[in-house]
Amino acid sequence: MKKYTFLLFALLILFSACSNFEEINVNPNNPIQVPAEMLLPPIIQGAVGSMTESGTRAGQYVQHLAWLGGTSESDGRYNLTGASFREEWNGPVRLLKDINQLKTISQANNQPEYEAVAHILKVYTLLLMTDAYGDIPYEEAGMGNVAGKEFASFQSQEEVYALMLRDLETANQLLSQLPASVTISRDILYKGDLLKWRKFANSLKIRILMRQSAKKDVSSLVAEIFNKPAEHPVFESVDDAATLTYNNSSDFYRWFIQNPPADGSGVNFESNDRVSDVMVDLLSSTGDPRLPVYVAPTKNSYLANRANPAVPLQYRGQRAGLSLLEQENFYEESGLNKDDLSVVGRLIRQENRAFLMTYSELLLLKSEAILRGMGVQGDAAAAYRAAVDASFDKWGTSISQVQKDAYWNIPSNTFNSSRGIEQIADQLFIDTYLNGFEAWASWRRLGFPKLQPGPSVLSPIPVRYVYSDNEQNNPKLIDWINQHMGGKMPDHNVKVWFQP
Amino acid sequence: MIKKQTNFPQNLWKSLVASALLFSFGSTPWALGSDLDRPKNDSRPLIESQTTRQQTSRISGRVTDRQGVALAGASIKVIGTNLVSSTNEAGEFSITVEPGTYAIEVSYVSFKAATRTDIQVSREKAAALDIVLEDDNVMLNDIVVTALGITRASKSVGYSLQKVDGDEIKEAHETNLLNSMSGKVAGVNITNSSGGVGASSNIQIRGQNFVGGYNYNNSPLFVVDGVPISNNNEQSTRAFTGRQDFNNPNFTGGEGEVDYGNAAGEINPDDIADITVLKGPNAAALYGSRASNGVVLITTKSGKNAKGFGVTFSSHTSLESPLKLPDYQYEYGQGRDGKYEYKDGMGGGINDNIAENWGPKLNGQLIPQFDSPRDPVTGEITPTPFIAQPNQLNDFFELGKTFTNNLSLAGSNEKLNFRFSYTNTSQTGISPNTDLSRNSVGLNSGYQIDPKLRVDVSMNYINSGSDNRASYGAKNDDAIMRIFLHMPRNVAVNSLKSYWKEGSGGLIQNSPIWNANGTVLNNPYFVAYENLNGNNRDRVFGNIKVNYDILPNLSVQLRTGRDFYNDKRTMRHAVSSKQYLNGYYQEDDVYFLETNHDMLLTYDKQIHTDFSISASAGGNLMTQVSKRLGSIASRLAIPHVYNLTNNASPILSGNVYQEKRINSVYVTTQLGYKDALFLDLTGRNDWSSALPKSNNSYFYPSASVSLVASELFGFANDQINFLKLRSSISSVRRDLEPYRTLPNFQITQGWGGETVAVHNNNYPNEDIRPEKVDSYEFGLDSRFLNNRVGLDFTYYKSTTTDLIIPVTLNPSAGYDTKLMNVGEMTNNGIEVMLNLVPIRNDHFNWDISLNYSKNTNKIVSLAEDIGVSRIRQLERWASLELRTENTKGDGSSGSLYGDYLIYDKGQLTHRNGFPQEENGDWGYLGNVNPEWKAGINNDFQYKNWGLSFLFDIQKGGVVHSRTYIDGINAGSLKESLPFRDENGGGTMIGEGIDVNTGQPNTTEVTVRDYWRSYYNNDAIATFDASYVKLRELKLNYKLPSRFLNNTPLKSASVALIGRNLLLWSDVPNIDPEVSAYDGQFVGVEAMSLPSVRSMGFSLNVSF
Repeated sequence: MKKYTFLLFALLILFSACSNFEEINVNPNNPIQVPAEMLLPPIIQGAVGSMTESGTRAGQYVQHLAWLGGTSESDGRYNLTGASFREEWNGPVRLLKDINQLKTISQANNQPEYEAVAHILKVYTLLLMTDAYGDIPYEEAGMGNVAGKEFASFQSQEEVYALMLRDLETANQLLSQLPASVTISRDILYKGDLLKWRKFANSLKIRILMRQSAKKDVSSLVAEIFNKPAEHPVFESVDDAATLTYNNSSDFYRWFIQNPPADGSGVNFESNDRVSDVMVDLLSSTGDPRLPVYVAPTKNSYLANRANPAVPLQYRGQRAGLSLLEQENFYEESGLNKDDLSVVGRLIRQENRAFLMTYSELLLLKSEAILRGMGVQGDAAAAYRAAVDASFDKWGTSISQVQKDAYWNIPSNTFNSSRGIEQIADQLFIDTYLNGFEAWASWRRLGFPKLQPGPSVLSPIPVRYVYSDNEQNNPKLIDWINQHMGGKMPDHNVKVWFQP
Repeated sequence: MIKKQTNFPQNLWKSLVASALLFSFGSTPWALGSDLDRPKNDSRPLIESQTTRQQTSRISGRVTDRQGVALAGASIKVIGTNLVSSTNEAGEFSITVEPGTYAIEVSYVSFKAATRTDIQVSREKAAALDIVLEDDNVMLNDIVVTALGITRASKSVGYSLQKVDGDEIKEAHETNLLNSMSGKVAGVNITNSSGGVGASSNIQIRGQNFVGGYNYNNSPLFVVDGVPISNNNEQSTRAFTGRQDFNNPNFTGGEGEVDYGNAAGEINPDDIADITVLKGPNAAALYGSRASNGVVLITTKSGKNAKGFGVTFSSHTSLESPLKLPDYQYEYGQGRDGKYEYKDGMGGGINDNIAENWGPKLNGQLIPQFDSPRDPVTGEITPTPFIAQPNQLNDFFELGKTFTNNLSLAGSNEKLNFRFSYTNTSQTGISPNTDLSRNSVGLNSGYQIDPKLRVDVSMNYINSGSDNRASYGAKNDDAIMRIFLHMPRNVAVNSLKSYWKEGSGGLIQNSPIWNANGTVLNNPYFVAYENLNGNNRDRVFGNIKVNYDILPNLSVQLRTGRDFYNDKRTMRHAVSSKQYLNGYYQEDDVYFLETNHDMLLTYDKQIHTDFSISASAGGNLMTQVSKRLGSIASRLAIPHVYNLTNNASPILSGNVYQEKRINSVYVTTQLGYKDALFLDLTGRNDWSSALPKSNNSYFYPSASVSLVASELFGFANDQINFLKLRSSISSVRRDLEPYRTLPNFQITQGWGGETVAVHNNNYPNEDIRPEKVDSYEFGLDSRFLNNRVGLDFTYYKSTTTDLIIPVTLNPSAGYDTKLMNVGEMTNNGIEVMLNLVPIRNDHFNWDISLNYSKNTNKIVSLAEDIGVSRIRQLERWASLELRTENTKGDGSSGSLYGDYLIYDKGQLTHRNGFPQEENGDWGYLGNVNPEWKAGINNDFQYKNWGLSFLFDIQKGGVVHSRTYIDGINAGSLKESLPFRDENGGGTMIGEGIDVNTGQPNTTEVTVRDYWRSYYNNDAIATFDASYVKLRELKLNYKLPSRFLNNTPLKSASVALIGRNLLLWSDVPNIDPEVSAYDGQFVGVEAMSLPSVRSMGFSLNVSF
């Protein structure tokens, strides 16, 4: 009996031994704090991924690319709803929670260099969003963790642009005060070069200012930046431009070919995407050396003549927005087939680079500002020529000086201020190839190149992305729509504010 | 007197037979006993007395009930000796005794025991007795197991429970235990996810109470011999948008799905004595929050009632074939718009890279095809007749086979009881090269150390595994049903059997469509034999229990139990697979451990002749630990080498550890009056580690009353045999998964394979409170007309408040979800069980049992004040959402939303000739939960023959079919046929109006484009899921004892069992009783393997 009683007591003691519950519930798998730099790669990768992936839709609207007739009802023929733009919205705006964390951590740890980068990345990401969607949440974006901000409030595009300029200037100031020795880690965009980040911030300001220049007088602000490079350094070379180079082992560019085909072409002939006839014609009609970079020869001409350099390879663009029947009629009338239409070129797929903002874009905007008399010092024609050269130079030795000279020897290729805006717009269209967001925004602002929708498309060319169906039930958005947009969720043919 | 040691040789002999059987297992399991003659030296049968009659005589007789119906299996005990026997099928018994005077006691379940004394037996005169047993009132002495393993008289229980006999479970021979309960318990809804081997089943009692977390959080608690065990459903890949288990890694993000089964499904049915289902939270207040969905109490066989030493052996073989296959069209073959010509399967020919059947008519015209002969030198393809291959799927599928063999040894004496059991199950699936094997060993033993102290041990070891489990999923390129939905109708399956492309050196699969950078249709044989999903799982569960009687009325029980498993999984994708062209290898280690220590003090006292009191108090310490370790080589450097170091891209690796503890104290009291009125009160307090400190202690009470009116008021008679009224009320609280109170970062391998961090998408809550379920129920239990009619009725209602919901935020909030306490939800319903005995006589017995249940769920409120009016639970195409009634839908959980065609005044609207669909603001498609469910079982017994059949019925509920949409899109189902022209192309003008003009639509479009547009919405593929199934048909025969008299067998029976034999349903192409994603998404079909019809034969012998 005694030993049983003893046993009982021993067990009772065991029972009463409560451990520290709060310690048990601390997640051992996931840290509560991380160093700021660990957040950087996924944010940059996510933002750039949004540009390349989500921008493919815009790239179809602006007719960089065109799908074979009947294979793109949504973006080719504009059968679009909020569900069509789900990932286009969801992916980028969800990055904001991490950008906010980056800012919080860097402030707490007194790391202004990371804070500045957080500001720039927030602007870069949300600029893609506001350009495409119009009014967006800016100040409350990605703040679902804060009590009372579970549903983000929306702000007008005009207000958002102003806040972006403010935040970019904050970044510019933060970076300007740092000693040259300061660097940042895990920076997959600029390898820790803070001056380049600063130039990116100021160049983005130019993009934002020129974007709204049809609606607002931004001359003095633009002039201030261009004319005072000490206070507002901007891109000064192709090297300064914001370019993400993928590493080809774990991370791949949208157009990269992981399994090169046996035919040696280095491209994928089997997909449904083609380069548009607008792009191919624009390049070939001006003798532009970017043609073989941007565009692969047609499969039929490549397979027939690859071994025979004497026969020139053929480049042919696809007409955008055809229905299946229209495509078949085209084949019938022309005697061609899908392998007589070009896909995206080999070099682009090999080099594996995504261009966030190019030096060429900056110079083209500068040329435009000079042309429009916005008070920017310099010569519009020189800026234009430098811009086009900068676009050639993106491809390094692939475009030779001989080719460049040949291009400039064609008189119609030189700058002519009477059709300067059109020339600038065309060059923006060409330079931003595969950056659909930027090309589409530029086209909506400047109206060039002139684009024709397909013969039987379901609506005019879209000028707006439609809020994701996952966002449309946000009560704050519904309030915003009721107060500012007459209660009707805007569709893809309603202009955003910046568009004249 | 017979000496004790004479038992020995016979038992030894039995053991030898048992060992022999063990060794011969699996190979020829039913070549049993035929040539097992009795050993020559065995001449002293203990019970059967036929062979020895020199010095002895017999007591024999026949036992019947009042109607003269023979009672088989009644036990006969010779008082003052250890001689026992039982009656045979004819109710007869015979006991060999030495001459003398004896007294015997005859007992039989649900009859009053009878004794006969003063039985004179002499050498000349054997005693022959006729014994009539009086009906006992079935309900009065029936014993049930209730919470904490406390056994109670059934009549004293004030809440609804239902017992299923172990034999019924065993005879179903399902490899997933849950499936064998289908249709047998009112209020229990079981959904089988697929017909794949080892597939999981989802179980829900009285509807859905919780909406946070996984669906298996709505599973009842499974308790084996008093100790909880896991019914988790832990998967390796999880790819649909919806509730994610954010603590579990999901590296791939792919769409591959492999079902590894639900943990409770693998409990060995052969070891189960009975299952008691405690349905409501009322029944379960004592098991704590996990029991708020009800409890499934499983009692394993213990050998306690075995007389002496016994061996039983059973063997079951069954064959499985698909119950229902999609209705494919065989009029048109591969291609698009009527055009097709094969060249290289890469687009080199005409539409030869298109996995669709919108091609030319299958008229036997000569067309170069994938399986046409090809000149080895020139590569020239000789055109062959373009004809249908109508049996593709049947040719591919094999007959599934299941073998289950069980051997058990049991014995007992005054002090010791034990039962050992070994079961081997081996199964091959209908899909080639899929299998499951399971070995279960169970040991259950008890020892009465001294009159006051008793120790019981129950241990179960299960090893289960598979060389390959089928994978499924509507976006999974390895899903067999998806492959065949896209399979060209003109390809003969035989031409796919050599699944490597000739001359590729085993590097490229032989498929009609294969292009490294373009379209690939996986060859099904390639998938079956190269893309393997194996696993091996070891599991041990059991407990040790010590009971000690401190005082005559006071006893204490200490118990410790654990459930542990470790599952090692491997997933392979061979080089040239569609999703992984360079091959793929993944390993996963899943570890789970739950331990429970508990203590219970029990006090029992008859205070007065009319009053009794029984009280228990105790405590429990629960710890749950789960661990995952996973690694992926997403590209292989050397093909066919499945080793993680053979990685051509950085390895993705990760591990997680989870721990949760709950400490509890509880008390329960039962007060009885005149053994006919009972009041139960319980209280429990939990401390959970998963809740924030300020909210981590919570108390929940319950009360119940049972009134046996027929006893208390004494009106029991032949018309009303029994009437019990019961009622109970309870309040249960519930915690959540661990690590949901502090925000954190998820770290993964990112850019260049280096570690990166993102803030956890699912934002936790530092102030979360436990959820609360308040419920009440009342009911009655009654027997009428000489117990020929039995009716049990229950009404219940439960209200859940403070629901812990990861509230879906809008994308602009940055976070997918934020954990909050929101809303209120109710469930109410009725459960009816009706038993009828239309015929009962000496030779023939007919029993009907019917169960019916209906549950109504209502979302009373969410958090509208902060803008939460809908919560998306799961989404893959159609989406399961919670919405209150003031938004679209029926305001109950299980509502399905999706896109739909736009009609204007009954006219389908068109734009440019195509039907217009609304896919921005989704429409209500129906509710996946049934209106009601019922099961009807008829059981006929004629002499030694038994025949029974069980119908399982579901009324209402919807099912969304991806097979339907994908199949029509691919031109493979019959719905895609209308308006195709002679060549297979053609155009049409859709019926309806043009949305711009309002006039009839006149725009002509191609047939393919029209139907693809018409059928590409969720609403059109959502069907009324009502069905009737012939769930089980069973014919059995017990060998009459006269055949067994000269054998060592005590009993033997054979049975033919068919399961899922017939299905009546309006849902095309699929069995409506399916769920997608291992039971996570009930009501959505996502191309899992078809459910199977099974026909089996089983043999049971005991000796």
